[in-house]
Amino acid sequence: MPQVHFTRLDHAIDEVHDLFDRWAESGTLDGSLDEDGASVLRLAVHEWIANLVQHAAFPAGARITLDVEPGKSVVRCAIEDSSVGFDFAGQVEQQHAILDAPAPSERGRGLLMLITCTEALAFRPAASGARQRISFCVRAGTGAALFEPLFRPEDLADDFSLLGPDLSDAAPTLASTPAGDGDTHGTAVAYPDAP
Amino acid sequence: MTFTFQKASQTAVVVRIGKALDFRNAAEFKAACQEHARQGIRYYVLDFSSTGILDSTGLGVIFSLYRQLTPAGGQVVFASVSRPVQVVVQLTRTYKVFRQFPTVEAALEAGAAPSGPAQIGAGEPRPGDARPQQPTGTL
Repeated sequence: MPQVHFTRLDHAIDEVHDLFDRWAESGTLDGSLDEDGASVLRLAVHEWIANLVQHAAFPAGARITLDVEPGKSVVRCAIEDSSVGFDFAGQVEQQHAILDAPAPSERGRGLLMLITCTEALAFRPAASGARQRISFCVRAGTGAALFEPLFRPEDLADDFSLLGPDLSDAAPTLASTPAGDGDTHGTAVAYPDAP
Repeated sequence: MTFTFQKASQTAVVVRIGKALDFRNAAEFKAACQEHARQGIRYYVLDFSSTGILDSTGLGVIFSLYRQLTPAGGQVVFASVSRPVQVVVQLTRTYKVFRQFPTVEAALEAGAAPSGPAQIGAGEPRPGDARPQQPTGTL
């Protein structure tokens, strides 16, 4: 499939959903994902681009490139952008910290949502000569169970706060991956519960 | 990118979420809900029948409303949940917190019945429920 470029930040999210609407109408992803899987893919792309729209700096102009490759029961997706980049691992850590706050903000969970939606997530930070890039897969039947700590009803039951249990069993772990291995010389997210 | 509030009683309102509840309109949604809470609304029926996008920020403001209402015995329930929203509900397991109903009418009927404060885990059916919608996702 051809790459799709977004250059107008204010319209990027609308354009993303227009694109997914067209794919749904034309059945572009039908051989790879069912309707729910396509919704998961749409959500993952939405969360990442929403993150860029809200938080990224594009001093040299915005250019976001979406590359989607449908396969058999899986869709591979890569998104590159011309922003100055940001500390992905640090942001994920910060989002986990939000969960432990006594009165957590309703914002700042987008990366956790993205992690929940996807498999084989890899991040390459922006560096000289390389654009920030994230890549991931969405597989048919995807249903990660990592997201539960994001909102924890059992804690609300205790005291109407979101203070709570140790998340170490459920939270994905972050690990730096070796440089020089394609696009993996950034941060990879490992899934403790992944098969 | 709009939602509408339709008062169903002195304490209940139906919020028809439009095409999306996400980072673009979450603040507007929150402000409108808080204004209704100040007017005494304690039972919010969120109608997702037309909703294609519910993102992490949209879900976050719903939880914020839930946290605000629950100590005072209020409730937030979901009605006519579209498939894309059901996917989010399943992924996040928020069906454990928010009761779901197949229709707005069923949600209002349940809200009219004396039920006391919102119960955590109310996604599970209980005797006397007005046919709460079961999570149907296959994720």
